[in-house]
Amino acid sequence: MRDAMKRDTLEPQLQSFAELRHYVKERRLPFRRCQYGQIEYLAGNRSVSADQRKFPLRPIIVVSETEFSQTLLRRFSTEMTEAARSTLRQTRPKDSAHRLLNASQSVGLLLILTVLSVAFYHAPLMTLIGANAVATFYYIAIIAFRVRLAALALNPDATPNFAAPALENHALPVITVLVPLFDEADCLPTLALALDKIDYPREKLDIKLIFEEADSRTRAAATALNLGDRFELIITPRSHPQTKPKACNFALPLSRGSLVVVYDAEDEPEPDQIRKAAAAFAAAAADVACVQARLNFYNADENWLTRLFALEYALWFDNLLPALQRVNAPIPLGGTSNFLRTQTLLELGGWDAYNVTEDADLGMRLARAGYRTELLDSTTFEEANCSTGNWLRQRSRWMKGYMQTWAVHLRASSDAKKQSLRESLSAKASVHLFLAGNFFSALINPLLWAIFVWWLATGTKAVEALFPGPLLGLNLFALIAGNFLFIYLAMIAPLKRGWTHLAPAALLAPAYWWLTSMAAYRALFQLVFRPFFWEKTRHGISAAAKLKRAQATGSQERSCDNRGD
Amino acid sequence: MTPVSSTASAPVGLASATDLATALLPSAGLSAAAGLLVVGALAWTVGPRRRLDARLIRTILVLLNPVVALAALTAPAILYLLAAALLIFDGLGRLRTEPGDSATVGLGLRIAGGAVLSNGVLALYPLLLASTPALSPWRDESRKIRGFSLILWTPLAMLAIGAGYLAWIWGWPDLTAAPYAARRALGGLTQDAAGLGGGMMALSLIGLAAVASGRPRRGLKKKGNFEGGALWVLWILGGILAWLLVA
Repeated sequence: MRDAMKRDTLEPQLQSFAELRHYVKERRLPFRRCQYGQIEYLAGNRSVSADQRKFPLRPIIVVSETEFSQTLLRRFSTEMTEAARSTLRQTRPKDSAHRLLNASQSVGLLLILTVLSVAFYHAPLMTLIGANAVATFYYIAIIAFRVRLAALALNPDATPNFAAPALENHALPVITVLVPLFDEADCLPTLALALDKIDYPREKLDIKLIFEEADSRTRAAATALNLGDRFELIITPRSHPQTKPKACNFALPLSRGSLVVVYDAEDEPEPDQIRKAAAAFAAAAADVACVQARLNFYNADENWLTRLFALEYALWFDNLLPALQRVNAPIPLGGTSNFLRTQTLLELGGWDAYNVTEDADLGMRLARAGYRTELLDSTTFEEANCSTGNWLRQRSRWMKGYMQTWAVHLRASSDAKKQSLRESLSAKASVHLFLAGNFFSALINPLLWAIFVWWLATGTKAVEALFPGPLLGLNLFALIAGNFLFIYLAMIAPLKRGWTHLAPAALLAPAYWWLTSMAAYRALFQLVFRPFFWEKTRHGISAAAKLKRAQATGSQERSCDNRGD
Repeated sequence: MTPVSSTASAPVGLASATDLATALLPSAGLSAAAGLLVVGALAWTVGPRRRLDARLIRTILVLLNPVVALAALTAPAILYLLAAALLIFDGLGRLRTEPGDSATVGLGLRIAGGAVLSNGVLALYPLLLASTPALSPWRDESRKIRGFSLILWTPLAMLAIGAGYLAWIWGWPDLTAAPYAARRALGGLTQDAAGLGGGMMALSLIGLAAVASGRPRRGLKKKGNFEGGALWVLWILGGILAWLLVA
């Protein structure tokens, strides 16, 4: 049968890209016309019962699920590539970072710069004092919002840890796992092992490893490990931009699952995570479109950088995001382990292929469309960046993405139902203080610290002139309370996990902030000159990752030997 | 920069607390010991796990109120000391009954807040510092205990550093200048408006501490909250009555 299919070419006029989702769901594709004009269908073997094979109502060619998907891929590759790049850009141009600033934003920015320039020319001191006042009030607002979130996070009654009742196997939905891969050959053994460990019925897992056409090394490694036998391999054709969201968009229409989750190459989700997510969706209201698992690191204790990174993640995923959920504010999603309703995601236009933190952006878009995100009490462990250069590259991409996301959501209006004043304020605080606060504070910090050090060293009166009257008090509050508070928040962040041994690393947080500021300036430069460039993070470089790779490779070899036996 | 007294506009109660603590420094140890006796008696019920415990602690506090109010007339500093010690013991109780992030941070903040509320409570701190490792809910490795200790004591350290920095910029408060000198001249602080202000401030702080220590825990729900609020009002009213009767 398969030979026959290979001999006969598919008739393209019988299929339509608009029907792709239908073909994927039904696992049937009109293939060719038979001798008497009847249409012969291509079907995945799981969709055809034994009776249907014996007594088909219409002519079908039954192939393996993999072959069915590959046929779809070959047929619609061009359309899928274009859709992956431009669906959101074309259907909701305001929501896409393809254009960073729209006309009114550009005019507004120009106006602000002009006013500032004129003011600085005529009254430089007053202008600087004004800028200082704005920055100070912004800082204090950030501090206040973070304190509120931290207080909520520390209150067990305010952020209950709801565990949805587990589902029986027969009630579990099909879940699609997307794993975009670029230059990740070294991570494949550990990835395969982590995916194999997932406790979920195999027939209800639709795992797709997504490769870039240009990345022959990772594809070769996947072939060497025989990953094609266990997972579906999808190759994304070359096109601009070459980003993770574009790769995910490319594979999204092929998803069989009603839920879809994205994992990164180095991810190790807790084995029961997908079960928990399925249960959470089953128990959740219809407006819950996303369930985000927590992220942390398996090599948190490797060096000072990984310790601080782990503290930051613990603060973000274990404390601040649950608090954001509590106040019904938009949640900037983490780049991995976010479970989404496939249909909702498709309706929203998928991920923004031009946003380099498509995850954070999607969280904001979901909230604006009236959907909610819930945090899942399950952790995906990743590899923390242990080298400064690699960390800077990753962080500058995140910063650039936050800038893109902020610009997009500054201009986009809410589609959601009418919000209460409290919810509306929380939503604005989430975008302008929580998300934008990340890069604004990183950009401003070095300037303020430089002024402070200059004043400490010289005691110059020129600096004192910038802090007249109560502004000095507010600045001192922001300086002392702000810095101490953020150090303390980092220190207490790992308490929920009982990782108090990481707490002393929080004393090094100021050094970490300096790195963050460097990344922010690098991001700003790239935002102007290379806005869609995906700064690649190298994985598999830490000692823990290398050890895991060695163990996973050994395990794979044993597995192959056993199969050979 | 012009040196200014950082307490020039401080609330009456706080100014008098500092003043009294300064005046009573020689007897700080004695105050601490007295405070320990009363607070120690209460401490074992702090962190109620059952409704009965919560009621018990509130009843004890209400019954003790006139006694505490009388103490305010003779040595107001003791009230601040009691309030501070109660706060800390409440934190310890929470850590014992509900070990976790919230209780740990709560105790850390109370240790810092206790020092602000009453300098006298500092006398208890060496003991507390020495016993910190034993308080840690995470005892499986020494690094975790060190991290826990750091979390517990960092707020106080930060407060000290912040205060030190401000003092460095603005100068240390001049304790011989007004309003301190005037306050010191008032003696017992009981027979005038300033004394009433200071005493009431102390009573309120004790009341807050009482509510904090006897507040409903999870499971006690709204009824417990109502009882707590009502008892607090009664407690304050009782204090005022006792003060009026004696004064």
